[in-house]
Amino acid sequence: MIKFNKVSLKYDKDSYAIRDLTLKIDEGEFVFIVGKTGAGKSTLFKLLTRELVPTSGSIKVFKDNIEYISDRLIPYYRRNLGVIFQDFKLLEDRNVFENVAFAQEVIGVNSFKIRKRVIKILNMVGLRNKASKMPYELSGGEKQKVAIARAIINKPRILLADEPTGNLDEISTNEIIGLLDSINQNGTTVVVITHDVHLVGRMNKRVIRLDEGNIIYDDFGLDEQIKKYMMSE
Amino acid sequence: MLTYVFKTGFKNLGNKKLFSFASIGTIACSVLVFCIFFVIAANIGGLIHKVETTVGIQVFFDSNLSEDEIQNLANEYFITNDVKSIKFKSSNEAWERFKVEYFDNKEELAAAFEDDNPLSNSSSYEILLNDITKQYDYVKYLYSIDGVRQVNYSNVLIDTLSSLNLGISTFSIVLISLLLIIAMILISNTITLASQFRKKENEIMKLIGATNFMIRVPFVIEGFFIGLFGSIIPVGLICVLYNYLMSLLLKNASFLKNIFTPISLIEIILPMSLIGIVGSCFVCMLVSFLTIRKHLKV
Repeated sequence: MIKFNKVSLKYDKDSYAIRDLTLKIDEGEFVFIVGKTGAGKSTLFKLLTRELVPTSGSIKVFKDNIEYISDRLIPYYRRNLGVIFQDFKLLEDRNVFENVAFAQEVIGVNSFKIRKRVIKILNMVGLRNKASKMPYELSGGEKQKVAIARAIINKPRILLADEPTGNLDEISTNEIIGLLDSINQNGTTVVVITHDVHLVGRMNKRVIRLDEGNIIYDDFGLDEQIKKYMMSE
Repeated sequence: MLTYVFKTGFKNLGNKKLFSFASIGTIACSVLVFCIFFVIAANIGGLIHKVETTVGIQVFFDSNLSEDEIQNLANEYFITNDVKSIKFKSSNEAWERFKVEYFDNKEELAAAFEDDNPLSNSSSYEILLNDITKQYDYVKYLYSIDGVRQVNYSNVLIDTLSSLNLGISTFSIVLISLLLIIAMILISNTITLASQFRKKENEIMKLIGATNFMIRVPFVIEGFFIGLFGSIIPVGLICVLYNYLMSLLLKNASFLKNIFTPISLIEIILPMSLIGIVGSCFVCMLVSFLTIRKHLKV
């Protein structure tokens, strides 16, 4: 599904954001990407969304080398990805329904289908009764659920989450991770970038730790060393 | 998809009311100036056309030429591509007309001349040209023909109308250009502001797979609405006030009554609306497109 082959990305002559990174994520996997600030997590995220292009190496997502996708076709590639951010990135002037519907409007789905699908997704994330609420009327956890609903409404094959629980309390964090897990159970590949050691420790999923642009740990769950490292972050 | 781009484009206008109002206002001023000058130019054009079709060149011939020779001369030399029509007027016709015009049908005054025709050397041709601006060249040509004694033509009226029309056209082009430049700067600012206003929305759109078309088109639609609202108002105003203003003009400048008949609104409305509205929408959409292409790298 996702295959990085000796991928490097240079920011300038001598500094690398990612260096000779080789990585494979299979379809239906749930993967945590961890690492300290500047380790290359965000760069990895941006390489996957094709906001950045590697300096060398190749990235294969689905069946295509995404570095060769023409600018005109990037939007169509991105429709297979769902993206979630720490700051939710909701549109403050639109209500919950409109925020979720927005993802379908901009790819040209007709309004009847949008309505049906949005109601279904809001039911799924448990926000059916808050469809007419504005973002400022929601808690952090609810906002992130709206963001998740927006990310999955187009049925992406990969869900990318950048610190999705960074701004949430423990209860909301559990709800969001539960939601991501159930999305993963339905067959979507989920890649979560996080600093939350408790979260990673609880889930017993594959963990990839990056340091200075390369992988220094790739296994299920956390060993003591990585726990210690993450606690010290 | 169309619903989304139109809805978003329209909504953008409302998000920055002051800027949108300024843009629409400036466009409205430009189109109003255009409409006023269009109306003036169309009416002067109509007047010139009327003069072209009624005021001709009158050619008199040497006294030693008979009427047959005159007609042969005219058939041979007068008809060129610039000539619309030629009409022969014999000396007898000239005298009959003179009697009517100057003796006011008082036969006793005309009777003093008995059978003499004081205008016996006044056989003439009246020539109408296709384009009155070619009058000078044609008159020059007529003088070069042997047998032509005198050529009468009216240059004052044509010169005045032509230079008035040219002056008004030049002035209106300069004024409209200035207003258009101001309008373009304002529209560009409005669209730039709109792109800043929707920066977050555009970022999200990019990440969820919206095409460049979907991201950019709402801004072009916003430009379209600015152009549409900005042009409909002045075009509508002119349509409503045209007949009233023309009757007011004729009432206050009664000397115009004999020489000037305003062009009907129906004749003016289509070209004026078409150029005003379509032109305005096109300019606004183009400026929006160029602005958004510069500010929004998608």
